[in-house]
Amino acid sequence: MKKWFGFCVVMAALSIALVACSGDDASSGESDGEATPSGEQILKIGNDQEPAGLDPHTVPAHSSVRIYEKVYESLLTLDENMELQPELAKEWDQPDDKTYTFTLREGVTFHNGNEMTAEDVKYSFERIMAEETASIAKSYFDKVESIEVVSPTKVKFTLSETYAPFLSYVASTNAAIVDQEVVEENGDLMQTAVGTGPFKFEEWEADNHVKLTKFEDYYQDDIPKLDGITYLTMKDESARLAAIRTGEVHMTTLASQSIPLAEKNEDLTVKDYQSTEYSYVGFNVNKEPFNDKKVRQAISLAVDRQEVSDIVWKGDAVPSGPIPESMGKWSIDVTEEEMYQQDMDRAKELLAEAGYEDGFDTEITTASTYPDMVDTAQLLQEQLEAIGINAEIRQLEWGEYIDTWTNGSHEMLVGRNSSGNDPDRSIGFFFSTDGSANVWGFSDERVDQLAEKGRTTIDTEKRREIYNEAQERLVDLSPNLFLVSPKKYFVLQNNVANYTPTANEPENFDETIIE
Amino acid sequence: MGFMKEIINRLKQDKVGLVGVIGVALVIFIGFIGPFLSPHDPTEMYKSHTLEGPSAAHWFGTDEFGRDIFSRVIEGAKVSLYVGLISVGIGATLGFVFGLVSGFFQGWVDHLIMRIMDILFAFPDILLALTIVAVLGPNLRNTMIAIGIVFTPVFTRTVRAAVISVKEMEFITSAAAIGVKTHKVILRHVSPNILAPFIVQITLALSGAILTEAALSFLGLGIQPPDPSWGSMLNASRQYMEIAPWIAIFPALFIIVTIFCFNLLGDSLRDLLDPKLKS
Repeated sequence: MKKWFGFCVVMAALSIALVACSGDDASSGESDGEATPSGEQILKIGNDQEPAGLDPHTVPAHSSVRIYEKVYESLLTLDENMELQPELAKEWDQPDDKTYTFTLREGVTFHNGNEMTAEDVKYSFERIMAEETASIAKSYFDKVESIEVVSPTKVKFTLSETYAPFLSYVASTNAAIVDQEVVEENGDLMQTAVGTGPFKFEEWEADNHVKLTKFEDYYQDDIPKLDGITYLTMKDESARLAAIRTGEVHMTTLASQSIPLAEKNEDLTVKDYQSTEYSYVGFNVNKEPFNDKKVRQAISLAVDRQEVSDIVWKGDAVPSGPIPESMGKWSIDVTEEEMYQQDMDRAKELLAEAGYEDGFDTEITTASTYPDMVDTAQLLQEQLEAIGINAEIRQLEWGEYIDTWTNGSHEMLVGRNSSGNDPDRSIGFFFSTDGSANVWGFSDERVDQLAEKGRTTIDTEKRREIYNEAQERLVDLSPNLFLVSPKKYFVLQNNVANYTPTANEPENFDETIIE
Repeated sequence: MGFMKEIINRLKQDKVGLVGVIGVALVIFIGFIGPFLSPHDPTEMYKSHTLEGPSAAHWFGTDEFGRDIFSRVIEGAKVSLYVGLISVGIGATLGFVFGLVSGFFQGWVDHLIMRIMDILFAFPDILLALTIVAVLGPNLRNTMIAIGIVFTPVFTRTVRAAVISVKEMEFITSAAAIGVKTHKVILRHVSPNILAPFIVQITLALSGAILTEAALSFLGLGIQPPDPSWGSMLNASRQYMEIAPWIAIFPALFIIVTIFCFNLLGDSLRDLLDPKLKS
């Protein structure tokens, strides 16, 4: 019986450890997030996923983007009001609806010393547009007919038709300017990164860290202030929480559930911003009963979005339509929409009109990987019971979930979308009949017309009206049940200064210093 | 049955084993009667009482939806027992048949069966169960099938080894010699004499099955929400471990105690049934 004694001791020790963790943990160790002994300012960040490769043209994973966006730059960029600003192009103009010319900043060099010229711009866009690159940005530039090098500092793009989102897409991180020489030397850009940005790529140790160092010859004087950034891979929320409390990292992202703990700690500051993401329920609109818009509307009316915000996001999420609030001028105030006024009687009426007085049985698919999605599914299940809809929850592992999303083999599916940086992505990409991410089988003539009009209208005010109508129509037809747009959080040591996250650029460290 | 009576008599003298028996009986009691005792519906959300600590209204506190943890733990006991009994039932039945055939006939049948079992054995339990659930789809029934398959090789080996040693004994060879039909030899003479190691294996496998179900549910592949199981409750609690530790502690405690009691019982049964220790 000796081994049982040993077992008991271990279990007892474990329980004590558990209980010990649960108390108010004020003694969370001194923050040693100061500069390293040599006086170097290295910002250490807890990254919640291992980067999936560093090629800015092909890798959409957030864990990668946050790293390569420091190394690479695009011709243009967007500011916090989603307005275009110069980056590698110091100015641009549009002689006619289908032609754009960019004048490049002079004296910009890549991290390997090569000068950045109009040839590099042409090469980069051609690389994105080439079929074999399989770039995620390829569809952004389908309308580009030719790219012409006018002079070493001037490039001319000719489009096949008017295409309003063009400049927003040029400003995308995925339209980064790369060096042809580096691509040819390495075959691809997955393991290396040579750009023109404020930080240069130093090393990537798999499952451990990625190191960036300051680019001394950066074309803007006094930027960056930091000597380097190190991204430490910490997949587990509790590992990141522990690392930020003990000062092992200077900053990290945490889920809203952990925020009260970080706030209690005097050494830490919590910063948040309204994300461009929103949670949704996708309906397979070809399957009964979801092919009837009345059923979808009934569900929209039965759902309490505030409760989703309160329980799943601890109150830090706002109701959202297809274009979330963080998209500024493009977004409409959905709280005024009829479909967002919870009304059980009306919901039951609509169900009855659709022939489902007694409700029906269905299935809610969700990804087991993301607790917020599982929680949203459970809450919806409970809310829908009130109008007689009995849903069973099916949790899938991430790969299988993506498969289900792609081939539309679901009935209701809980997910989260990012609206991107142009309303064309929020509307056309997800909801036009031939949109690349329209996996719902949704097709509406008016939405298609509006999406097309939005793409070809240059005037901002007119474009805004077009997308306003599209949003209202989508909210009414409810091909997706748009739920809420959550806040995102960064937790940092108090000694990290000059850093403010925004929706368009959550991690801009140009001016950041460690005090 | 004299056999069972003897076991019970001997258990009475074994204090540690008795703790196991009482513990197991208690878990079974909770599993069957519990749902009638639980103060709340385990899936009912009291949304104005989310993440509340233990109180008179909610003895074990509430979770992020305001569901009563006590009622959920009790409901979870039912799930654990149910999964344990059915999946071990599947594994034990398959294992008994395969082991009997394999051990009695030997030769190529034995080779075929045992090599298949070796292949199954080569995979870690959880990995094999995960794969089976991933292929069949995550729900309670498939979880039980998966665990049953995972436990089949252990039972097959145990039964086969026992059959081989019994088969060579005189009473079997003489039965065969006087012309008793093969199936009668297997059923009447071999089977009853290999029960001891088989029963021990069942008790041990029960705790293994409960643990595997907890692990699968922890990974989101077992029982689907909002129905509770100890493993899925533990998984959901991870986000709130510090703010609301009771969400984690109670299901964890029940897993530990249950596994502990089943193992105690299995351990003393093994001692009791070991012929070498017979006084």
